[in-house]
Amino acid sequence: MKVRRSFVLALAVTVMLFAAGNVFAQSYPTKPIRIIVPFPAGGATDIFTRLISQKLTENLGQQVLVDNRGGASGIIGTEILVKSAPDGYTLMITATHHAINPSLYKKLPYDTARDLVALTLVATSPNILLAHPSFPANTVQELIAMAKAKPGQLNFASTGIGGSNHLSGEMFKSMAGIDMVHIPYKGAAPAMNDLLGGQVSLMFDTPAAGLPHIRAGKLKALAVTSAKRTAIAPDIPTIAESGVPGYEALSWFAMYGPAKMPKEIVTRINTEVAKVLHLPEIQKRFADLGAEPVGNSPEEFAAYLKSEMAKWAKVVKDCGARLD
Amino acid sequence: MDIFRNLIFGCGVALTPLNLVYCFLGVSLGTLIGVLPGIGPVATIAMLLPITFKLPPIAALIMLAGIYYGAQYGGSTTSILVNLPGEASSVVTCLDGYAMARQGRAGPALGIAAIGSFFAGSVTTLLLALFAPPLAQVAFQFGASEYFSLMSLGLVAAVVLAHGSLLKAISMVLLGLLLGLVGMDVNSGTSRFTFGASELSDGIGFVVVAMGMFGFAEVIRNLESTGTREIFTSRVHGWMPTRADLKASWKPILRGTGIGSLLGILPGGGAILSSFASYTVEKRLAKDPTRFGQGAIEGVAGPESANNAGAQTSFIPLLTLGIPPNAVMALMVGAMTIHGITPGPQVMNQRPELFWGMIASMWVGNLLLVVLNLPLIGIWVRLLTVPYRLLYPAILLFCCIGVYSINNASFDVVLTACFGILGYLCHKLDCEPAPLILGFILGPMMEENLRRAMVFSRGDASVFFLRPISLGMLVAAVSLLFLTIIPAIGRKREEAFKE
Repeated sequence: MKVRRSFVLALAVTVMLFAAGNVFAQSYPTKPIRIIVPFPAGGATDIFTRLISQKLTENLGQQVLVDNRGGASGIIGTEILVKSAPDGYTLMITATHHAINPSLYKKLPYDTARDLVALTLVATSPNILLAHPSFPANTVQELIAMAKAKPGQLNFASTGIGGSNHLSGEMFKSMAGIDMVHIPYKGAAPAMNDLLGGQVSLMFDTPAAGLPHIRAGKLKALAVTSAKRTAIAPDIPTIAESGVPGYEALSWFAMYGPAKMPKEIVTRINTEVAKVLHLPEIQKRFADLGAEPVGNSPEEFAAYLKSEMAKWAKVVKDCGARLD
Repeated sequence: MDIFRNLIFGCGVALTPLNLVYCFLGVSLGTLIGVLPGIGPVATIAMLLPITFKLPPIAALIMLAGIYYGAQYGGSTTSILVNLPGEASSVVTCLDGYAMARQGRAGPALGIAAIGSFFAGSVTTLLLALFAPPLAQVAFQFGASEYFSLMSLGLVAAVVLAHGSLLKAISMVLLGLLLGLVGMDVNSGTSRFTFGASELSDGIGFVVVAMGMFGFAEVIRNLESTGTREIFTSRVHGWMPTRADLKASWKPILRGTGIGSLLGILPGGGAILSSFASYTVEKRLAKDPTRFGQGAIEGVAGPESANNAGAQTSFIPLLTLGIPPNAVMALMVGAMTIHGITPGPQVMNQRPELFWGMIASMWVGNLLLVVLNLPLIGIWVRLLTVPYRLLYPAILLFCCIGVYSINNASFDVVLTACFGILGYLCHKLDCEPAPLILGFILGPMMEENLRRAMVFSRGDASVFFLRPISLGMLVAAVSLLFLTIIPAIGRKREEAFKE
């Protein structure tokens, strides 16, 4: 008898939980939502998040706060997300690092595949292969020819080991079959400073950072890293069409929650964020920054995340980059 | 004259009632957070970013800029009064400013800090207006090898900061270097001294070290001795520096302005480095260097002018190129982007109202600051009459909030407490924290640039001697080293002979 009673009790609790879940999803959100950005304020991820959170606040009738928890390539912020309650009140928007970290670090304090739920792909952005105006090569073909003639003499800057603009370069090296020396910097500003000063001749960087200098004639663009030409600068050819077929390296920004978040909440957040990303105003703001808003379904994004993780794992393995 | 037309145009923007109000709000808030130890402009601007969404972009940027340079004014206040740097850039001000306060000269110390800051602010505003684009090019002359040589010069100079034993000063510099190495190495990605803690993988924050070694340590130190402070509060006079003070200060203010203007343009810690550099120069040039650390007004006037000059000129790379030379400027880039302005070389031509408006607002802001700060000195000085039992818990509380607010990390607060204990131990051992702090800032930058320069040259060390700027600085470093060491050796010999 005792067994049956506890079974009934368990059943009742389960039913109640389900009901509560449903009611919860309908009334969600009843308190402010926090979006963790695992990078310092002022960067690209932070700006995208702030643009979105502002609209979400208007649409949901609850404050959506941005919480900057920078450090360790986003690992510190991700760890905070993973440890928070999966109730939809703690979310995170982060960059490509998230998909690269598992292959770069010997160990992470969480399991990227298991401890997070993929909510939606927020935006993608190509990088531009930038060169100092004094650099002899004007196209990717010329660059490849130059690198082959003088192997190991070219340098390319990046904002740090394992970032998307470092690995864009490593992937380019291996696919084009050339050798260039990687020069990592502490963030984008000092790297851009050395590129503008001609101390280093090449760098992959975002359109937002590169285009103003290209337009001012201080830098030249050799190519973009996306598979198709980018809308913000359609005159710049892609690397894929310039002799490295199949090359594609995107920076992307996506939203996650802690694993075990109720399905209803996942759907609700996904719908709300997608709605914001399709607003003409947001589309324009993102486009101005050289990014393309996406807002796909959790399933689509989960599949994309998986493919990106596999792609970068191979690049990381090939170039031997390692962080610990 | 184009420049006058531009400046008048800029004033037209800066002096609209709305912009004037936001400028005033910004500088007042800046002064406040400058005074509060630990709470710095980075955290404040980050917190205020969402509020600026609703403002017109120019008003928002004027306010945020005001917070930044306002903090440079306020930062000296607690350094002078309670040996607690309100801002990272006013660490050096503690050395002589606090000594002056102990002699009952807190008023003149605060006065000269405000006057120096105002002078530096006015000059650099003019510099910005006249020469912003060519000055921005200066930063391009600095590659990895130049930075390495500059840092070497700075490191030699660090020893000059101390006024006690040379051996202890060198040990403190080395300890600072080691602390600076904590975290992931930029060039190889290897973690050093992190003990597996991901909180340490980006290194130890400057504010953590500065607040711990100065702020926390000072509080612990004062718990030992009770009742000594009444002696110097009773002798506080007005804020007006004497004629002799002004005579001693005008040259340091000029030199500080020059040093700060130049270092502010370079990416990475311009304002902080500039105050250290100015102090070193003043101590070197002084007829009687032993006065430094004992309340020499030059040691307040120079660095305070330098840090404000550095704060202003760090806007040059931001406004002319869109490159942020420090964390605050990175936030300004974020603020501009959020307001739909793409930072870059075109801002000057496409948004002249923004460029010239901001420059004009800086001068207006500096004027507001000096008007605001001079009468406040009387009130700040009265802070000294607050009993220890109320003042110190409050200081500790603000320090903790400030340190926490930088990364929203409680780990940093615990770390600051550890540095507080280290700072106390150093005090007991007669080791001064200033050389440690300089070693801590310079060490990692020096290593990073040394290795980057060597990668560029593919292992050929001659780059440091073949590039003229780099060579010049290395020569200066070696000469300074000899100047510092030779008298010390001479003294040793004398002592040996005596025995």
